[in-house]
Amino acid sequence: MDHMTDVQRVKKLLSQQADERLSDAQWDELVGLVSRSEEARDVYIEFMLLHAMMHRLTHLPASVASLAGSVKQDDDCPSLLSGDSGKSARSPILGFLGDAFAAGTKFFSRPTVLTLGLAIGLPALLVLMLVVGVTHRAGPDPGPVAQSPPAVEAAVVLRSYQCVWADGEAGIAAGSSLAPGHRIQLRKGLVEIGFLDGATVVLEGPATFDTQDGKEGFLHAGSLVANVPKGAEGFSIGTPATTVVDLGTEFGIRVDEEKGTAEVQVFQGAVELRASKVDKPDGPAEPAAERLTAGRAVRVELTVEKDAPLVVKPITPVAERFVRQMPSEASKPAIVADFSGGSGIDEVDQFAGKVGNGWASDWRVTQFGGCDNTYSIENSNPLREGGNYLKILGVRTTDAEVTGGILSRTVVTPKSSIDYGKPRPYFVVASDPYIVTFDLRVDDLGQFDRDFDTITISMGGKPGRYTNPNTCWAVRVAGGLDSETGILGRHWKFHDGDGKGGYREVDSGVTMEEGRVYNFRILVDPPKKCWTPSISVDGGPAKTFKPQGIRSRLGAEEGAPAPFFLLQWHMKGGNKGKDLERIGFSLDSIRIDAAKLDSSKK
Amino acid sequence: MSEVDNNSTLPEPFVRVLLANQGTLYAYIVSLLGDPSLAEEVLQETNVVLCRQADQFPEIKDFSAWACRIAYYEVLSYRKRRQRDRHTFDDELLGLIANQAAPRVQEFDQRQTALTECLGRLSQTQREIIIQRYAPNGSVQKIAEKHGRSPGAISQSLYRIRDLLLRCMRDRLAVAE
Repeated sequence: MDHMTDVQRVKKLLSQQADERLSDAQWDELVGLVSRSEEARDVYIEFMLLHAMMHRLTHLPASVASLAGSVKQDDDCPSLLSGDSGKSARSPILGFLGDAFAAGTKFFSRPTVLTLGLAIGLPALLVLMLVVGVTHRAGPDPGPVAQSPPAVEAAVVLRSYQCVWADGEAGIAAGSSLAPGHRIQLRKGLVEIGFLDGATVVLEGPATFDTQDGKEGFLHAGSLVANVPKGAEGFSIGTPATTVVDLGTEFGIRVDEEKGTAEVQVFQGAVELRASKVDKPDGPAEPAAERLTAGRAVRVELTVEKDAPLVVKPITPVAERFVRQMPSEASKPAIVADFSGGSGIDEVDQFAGKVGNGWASDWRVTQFGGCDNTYSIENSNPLREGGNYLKILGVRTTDAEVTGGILSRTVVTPKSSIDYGKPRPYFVVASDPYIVTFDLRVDDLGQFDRDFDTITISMGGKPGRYTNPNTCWAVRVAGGLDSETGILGRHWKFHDGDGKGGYREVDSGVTMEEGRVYNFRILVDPPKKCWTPSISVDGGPAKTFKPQGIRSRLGAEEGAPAPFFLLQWHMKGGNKGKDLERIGFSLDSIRIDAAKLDSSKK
Repeated sequence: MSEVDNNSTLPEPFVRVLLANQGTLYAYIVSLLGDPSLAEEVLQETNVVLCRQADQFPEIKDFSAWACRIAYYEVLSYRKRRQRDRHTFDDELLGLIANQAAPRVQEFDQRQTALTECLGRLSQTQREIIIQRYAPNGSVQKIAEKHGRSPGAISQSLYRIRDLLLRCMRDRLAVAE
């Protein structure tokens, strides 16, 4: 086969792969071609670069979506668009983009936001128009903006803290890069953003904020504090009412979404207040209208008339109204699983879910022969916290003793590939004190009357069964009397470890009964090699037990690559002739928090 | 493993270089995974690892090569976690592609400029089809319905358009050299 034929065939197969139309046989053919020939690999790489660039080019930031949305609504709301910008022809390409982004335009149908979206989205859209050769213009002369290269990142997320994102947003984490025009819609929590020019912003939810470029942002609603180091002077934050230009300082802004007003407070240095650039996104910088120095605060009113002077009123500065620093290490966000997203693999808090928010894996189920397990997300008859929960039913299909199943999920560690940023958003489970809480209810005990009918909840250092010597702590219940320890059947018991892999069982005296909800709280102190369990039944007072030794320290220095939360069920065999054995239980509200223990060595 | 200082911030020069290399890293990861959406996920993971290792930055002579290496390991790790994926290369072939792709992605900026020019040379219909395909939720089926053509015909058009773009970009880059 000559090279040209090979090359064309590789392109053809790659095109089909890119469009998800490649059969398994064609995939094998593609692999064969790419394996054999360096030239074919070159074609493969060039194709993938094109694939990547096209994907980036067409997945434009949210601000472009706002413009596309505004163009679509041109006929409905013509009065919202001023001057020529609202009356331009709807080009075929522009119209297509409007359709493509139509799903996300609900937010932008509001008058203020619509106009803002038009202003902010303009530069990026003009870049796209240049790319696709569209000659119709939807706004003023682009000037030098149209020459800007597309897709240059503007900022990076340095830290996030207890963030709740707006519906439909995947959310961002420390290390995420933010493109120009990236819109952050934060319902709750704090995000620290580092801009290309060195300025940092602490954004407090609820807030809507755009990273416009490496030295400029736009606050639509909510509050932020900007810290601008020497050398980054000129960094600016736009708002509907005013543009705040930094002169080397620290300042806070709070934007009232309904009124459009902006409160500006300067903590250090000075800022200049200028007319908002909403109506002139690409025009020359407005002259300074007001200079504000440290210790002063003002409210800037939203003016509707074009070229109207800024209306600035002094207000009493109150530093406590702004969050100037991210919380300390002691307040790290929790690692949570409460199945709020239902079933699926698109969000972290689904079953099976996906990697993120402190979890280094999705939920994993291990199936063994001799037991059929079903997993479902339910919301009727909820556990303590209500909402969705995970229901598991295991039915033994053989007379032999079986491990019914294992459900597990791995937590981030410094050694796992899904790692902390710097500074890391989560504590180190392997070495920092932490608290695990979870709710468990046994819905169907079946027979559960022998010593090896068991349910075990544990965290360990290496994936495997709870018997793994790298288990850190474990809570267990068995159906029958333990002949060695004398612990009664159906009593919750703890594994009191020796720190070297060994353990003894300790009776809690708390009986496990069908239908009751058990809330467990496990405080683990790896530096002190102990863990302290508490149990509450049906929302009653918690009973706290004396500290138990941990079986393994679960420390990074001991080679624990991936701490994981584990639930395991086991069924003793030998009941031939009886009904098939079964066990059903529900799990919810799993939460792993950093614990601040003064006595712990750090 | 280097321990992370919880209270420090990323050094500014590191952030600048990291941001400047996002396009290159993304393209590199796409070339290994073949899927732009999955590549975004791995890029984020790579960024997190790079941030954690920012203290090594002053000693790194070739940031792009270093970052690509880390991205490669992240891809390997991602593949292990996603063993259910149907179409993936084996590790040996992936290694070959990784080595070959690393120097190619360094031309990312030039390629992007070339792509901009080459898109301008397509006919209006060709531009519409290729952009519709890559738009969020774009698919061959949807384009076929929009244009009143069969999915097979659209697939063939996309192949031709991509071929045109690849040849045009290769010519442009050759001229630039």
